[in-house]
Amino acid sequence: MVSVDPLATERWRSVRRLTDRDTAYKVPWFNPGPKNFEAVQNVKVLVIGAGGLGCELLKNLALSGFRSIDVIDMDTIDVSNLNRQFLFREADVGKSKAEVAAAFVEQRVSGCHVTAHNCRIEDKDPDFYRKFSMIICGLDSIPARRWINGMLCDLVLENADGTPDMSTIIPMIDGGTEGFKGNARVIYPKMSACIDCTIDLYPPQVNFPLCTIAHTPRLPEHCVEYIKVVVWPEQKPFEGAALDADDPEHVEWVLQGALLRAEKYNIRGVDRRLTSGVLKRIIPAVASTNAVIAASCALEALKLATNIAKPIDNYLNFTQIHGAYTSVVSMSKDENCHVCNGGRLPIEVSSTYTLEDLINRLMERYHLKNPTLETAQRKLFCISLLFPQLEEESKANLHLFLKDIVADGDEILVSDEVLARAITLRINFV
Amino acid sequence: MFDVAMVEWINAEIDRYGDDLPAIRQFILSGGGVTSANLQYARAICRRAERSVVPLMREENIDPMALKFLNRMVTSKLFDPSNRYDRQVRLWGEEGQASIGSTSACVLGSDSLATETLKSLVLAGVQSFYIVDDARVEQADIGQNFFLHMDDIGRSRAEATLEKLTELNPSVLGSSSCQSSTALTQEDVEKLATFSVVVAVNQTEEVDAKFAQVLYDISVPFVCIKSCGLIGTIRICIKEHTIANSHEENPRPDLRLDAPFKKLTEMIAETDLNDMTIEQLRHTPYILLHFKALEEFRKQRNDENAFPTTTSDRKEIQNILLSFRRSKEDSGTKDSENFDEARAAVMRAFQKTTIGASVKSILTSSQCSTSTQPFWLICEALRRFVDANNGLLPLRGTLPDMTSDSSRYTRLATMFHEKALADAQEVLRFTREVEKERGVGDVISEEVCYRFCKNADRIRVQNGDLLDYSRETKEIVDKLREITVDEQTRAEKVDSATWILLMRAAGRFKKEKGRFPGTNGVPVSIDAQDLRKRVEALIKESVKENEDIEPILHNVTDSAIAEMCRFGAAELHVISSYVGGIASQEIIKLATNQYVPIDNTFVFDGHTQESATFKL
Repeated sequence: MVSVDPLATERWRSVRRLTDRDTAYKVPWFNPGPKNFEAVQNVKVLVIGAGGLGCELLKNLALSGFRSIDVIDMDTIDVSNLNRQFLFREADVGKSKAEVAAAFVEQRVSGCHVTAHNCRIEDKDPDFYRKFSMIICGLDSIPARRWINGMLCDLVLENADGTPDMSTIIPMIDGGTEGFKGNARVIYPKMSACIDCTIDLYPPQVNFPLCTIAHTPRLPEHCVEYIKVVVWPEQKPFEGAALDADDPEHVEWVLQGALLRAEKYNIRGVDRRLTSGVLKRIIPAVASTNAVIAASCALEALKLATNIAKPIDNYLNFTQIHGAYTSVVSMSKDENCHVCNGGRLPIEVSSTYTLEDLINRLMERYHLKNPTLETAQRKLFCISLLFPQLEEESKANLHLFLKDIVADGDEILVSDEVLARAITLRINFV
Repeated sequence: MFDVAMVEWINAEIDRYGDDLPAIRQFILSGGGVTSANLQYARAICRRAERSVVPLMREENIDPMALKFLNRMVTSKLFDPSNRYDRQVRLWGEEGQASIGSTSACVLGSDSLATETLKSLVLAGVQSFYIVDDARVEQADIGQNFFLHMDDIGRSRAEATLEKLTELNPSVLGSSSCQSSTALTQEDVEKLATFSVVVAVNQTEEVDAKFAQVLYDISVPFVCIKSCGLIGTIRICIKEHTIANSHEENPRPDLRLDAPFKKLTEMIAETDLNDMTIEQLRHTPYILLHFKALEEFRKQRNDENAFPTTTSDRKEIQNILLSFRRSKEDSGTKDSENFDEARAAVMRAFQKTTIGASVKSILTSSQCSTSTQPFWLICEALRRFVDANNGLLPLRGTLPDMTSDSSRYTRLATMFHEKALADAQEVLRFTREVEKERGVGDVISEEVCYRFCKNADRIRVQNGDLLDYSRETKEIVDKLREITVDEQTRAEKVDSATWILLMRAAGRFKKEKGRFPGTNGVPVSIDAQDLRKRVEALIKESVKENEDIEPILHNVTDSAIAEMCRFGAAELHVISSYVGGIASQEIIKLATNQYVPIDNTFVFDGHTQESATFKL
């Protein structure tokens, strides 16, 4: 018997082995056949971030058969990106990441269209995001993740019976890395655990207390922070320019100051690498971890587009310090998540609460940075350069009892730079 | 006009000077002398000129060679600013980067798994790589290998991928050879064994075995990686791998509560908690509170050598700590931070300073008393140090961060650091002794010795057996025999050991039929029967003559066999990228002697994205 492989000369042979053939490990509605691969080719996907993960994601998607890809990134290429962001060359330093990455992938993978958006994610409106069938994130910032997560939750419309309209759900695949560790997750907005449902997975940002860095420094980091937050604003070097951690002369200035301070307190370990690390809050990164996490995300994107295998449920952990280890855990949805609930939530507070108590609780619960609180009538708390006149009143308000400011059932609007949109809390005194 | 010859001239000049220079592995800082400062300045001007030529080229018709010339002036090795590696040097240090920079890798194969592995190695900055493969680029390669272009169809795949891989990092040297791995002679294999690591990508078992034998005997790491459909495997073969810095997460602090060194003892004696102001008490670093609590503990027990060994002893310490607090004077309601830290740290800090089992076995191994390898030279010195110091290892010398005033913390930090330096000096003296006895020069530098001592309590050695597929199949079959899962789990998920056996069965299928299961247009159901026969044969070869293989076969379901055939040797890019990413990091672990490599077989299943590790 002579048999001929119909896919022998097919460019997409490997993917089509899986999309065209039946399997016992599929999702129930999988039907093997050429339609599945056509779906991959026609689906519109958005990649957010064209950095370490983004470069890998674009490559992986293009070589999985996706050919209608958009990529958005506001950043420009730096020399320190070149150890992992393999679509960039030394000659590209200073150019837009999104544009260079898109052009490279289009050139290398013929037939693949990559549209670059050299801007912030916040610059795009809901209609832009609604165009995509799925969104894959390779971000290094938590606020950006929260923003896109909020946007995608807001895009979900409800049926008449209050259930989510499935046709409006855009799955979000999110990857993140730090050194040799990473995670990848699949989110169905409003259906499964979202970024804000599990916000406590992110460690709180470490900020050194001002009194320590000013009076009792003991670590090299304390010396650098001191120059950054105390000395720079005082001495206003470089004609009063804001401290730019990407400017080598600025870093040098901070380094010299930090060295003097370290000498005064007999602290070892201040050097240029540490200084730039503290100033830029640098997260160490290697090519390999980015490759693994981006592949994990792209594999899930391929599964979602073709149903060739079951998607993960729903959060993958990866670490490669001691051997190599992957594990998948199922994160649960938080029924009180402000994002999944459209930003409107009841909150139980004791009658002895001051405004400060409430703010502290909200900062911890929602990982806020500098919240503004207001009722329908007035601003309760707002520290902003835009409204300097409110600062004094805001600080005075901190000590007021909540029950003297609002009545049971009143609503307080909480906004913050890390929230995609404000949270409305209905006060319930207990 | 810029002649091509000018670019060639400058390239030659760069090579001429570059050859005389050691590889650049560090930041280049401006300054350091008038000449170098002037050179930096010149470089900045060239860069500026280059930048102004770029827009000109877009708008005007100018000689493109001008840009090339300027670019070579700026980006030559002589001026490389090397910020490139900043993000990774923060992880493995300059010493790790230097080890990577002197690593040469030989890779058998140039498919997507090979190039994805190489990608991360080239980006990381290995010294060189060498690709061996006789394949020609086909249509299907274009759909799965990023380091190929449509125009490469028909070319040597090794050569075409080499071109695109070397673009990733100008300081990495690459070369290739259009040879078939199956046709390599013993002599060829021995030649390839001069690389620092050899990687066999999707090679046959025969090729793997041939290399394994040669490399094992001369202790060159050998990494076998394979992928098929949604499955990937990595097998690391090395006789002995030494780890100088395991980067263990959250190691127990080395505080020496049971054995304080002299300067520390003096400071404890000076410290009187009752004599302090409330401010001083609140800013007393917890290590001092611990020592004071221990004094009290000993007083209560009336035993000057008592040390808490049980959880209830440690609870007692916590109570003593609480009693040190002067709650009456506390102005606020919050506990003072240093006492909170002291209490929280008790369970981990109050541990006898002992030598862990793995370090102990290193110090008593025969290698220690005979080897001339650098790692073992220091280990022998370490052993002598331990003998001379009441069974204690050198002090790690890093004090954990703790709430304190500046002066007492830095005084403690400095004394820990200085004691660690002194210990390392003593180890170095022993090292020189050992080096002399074993007739090797001063191979261990002071810096290497110091770094080694800092991590001495976490050094490790991994020992591996020679790669032997029939022995390993036997071990896998043993694991299959022991699988006990309910029918539903068996139906939904394929065990990792089953995947290894199926990969091996597919390899045998290929060897016997000249093609992989699920290819050539043969219906999957027919190939599945043939593959099942090979699974049965592999199991039969691995069990005792009369053993009933049914209970083992039960764990290799028809669905799993059919899945292997469904793959049809598919080389999915995402799986290549996933497994190649992991493999490259493992190679970096082997090259740097840092972190702990997979020991020794890793299996990844893309269905579930779960993985398993087996020691075979």
